[in-house]
Amino acid sequence: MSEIVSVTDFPLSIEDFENALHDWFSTQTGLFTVWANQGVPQPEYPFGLLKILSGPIADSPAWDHIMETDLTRPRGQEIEDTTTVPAQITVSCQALVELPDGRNPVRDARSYILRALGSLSQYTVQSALRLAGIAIVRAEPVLNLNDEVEEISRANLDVVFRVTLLERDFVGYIEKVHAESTQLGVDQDFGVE
Amino acid sequence: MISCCLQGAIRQFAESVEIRRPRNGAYDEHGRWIDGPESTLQILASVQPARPDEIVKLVENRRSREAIVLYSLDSLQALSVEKQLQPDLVVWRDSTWEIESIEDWSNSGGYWKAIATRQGQ
Repeated sequence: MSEIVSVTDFPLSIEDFENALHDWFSTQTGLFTVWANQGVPQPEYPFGLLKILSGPIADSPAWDHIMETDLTRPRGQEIEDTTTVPAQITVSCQALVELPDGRNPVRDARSYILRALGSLSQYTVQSALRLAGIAIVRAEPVLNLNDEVEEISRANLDVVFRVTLLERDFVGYIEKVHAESTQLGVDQDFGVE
Repeated sequence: MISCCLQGAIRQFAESVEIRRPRNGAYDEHGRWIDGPESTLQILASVQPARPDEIVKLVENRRSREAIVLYSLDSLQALSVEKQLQPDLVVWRDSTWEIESIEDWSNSGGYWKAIATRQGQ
């Protein structure tokens, strides 16, 4: 599964990316899905678990800067500096299922992950992700990580996505310059009061 | 009665300890946890350093942390998946300690025993 899609027209923030990914995975698997490593109580089984494994890896040097000035904005925020950069992000998508479903081939963790994998080939899913600014680069093999000790059925799918990330920074003009010279006898602030 | 002796011993060695107790949190529609409001209360507890055999009961990645044991006549709260609760935080000697496990001896001894590890290590 490989696709080359331009997503430069739909720049998005990391949070928007995570939200869109969460929508995709929870809808396609039907699992209550959370982000990993929050240090909080896990949901009850079965549940989905998402984690950004690597990235964003910027496809440098294609950084784009746009600076726009709007003097009606509050002082110190008149200039909007927008940076966009194409990048790849790898997301680990997991399903965790308790027994006895964990031993049922049509209800175990792997079955949920296969649904997510299959959906990546669907035109409707690809279109929805593309409209959110996300292109599917490739999906890695499904890993069966069943844990016989804890009796938990677990499966993993790593998916590589391409996005155009957006960063906004609001800055102002230089308000004050301090000049100091013993030779000229200057020790003074210049600028807007 | 042994339970009376234990309760008496706990009272004798107890000190006032601040507990920061999170109420039920929940995941939002994007799978991110939102903490519930936190309440602060004072309880009496006998606080002692954890013994090696008590530290072994902790999950592996917490065993290298400094640990204490609390004996209290008041109930304490540990992490709960069913109730979606975060554990109590204990403020003791200018440090914050997270409750890791609880033994409920309220029926036969009238007390709770908890192991807590120091945060920020």
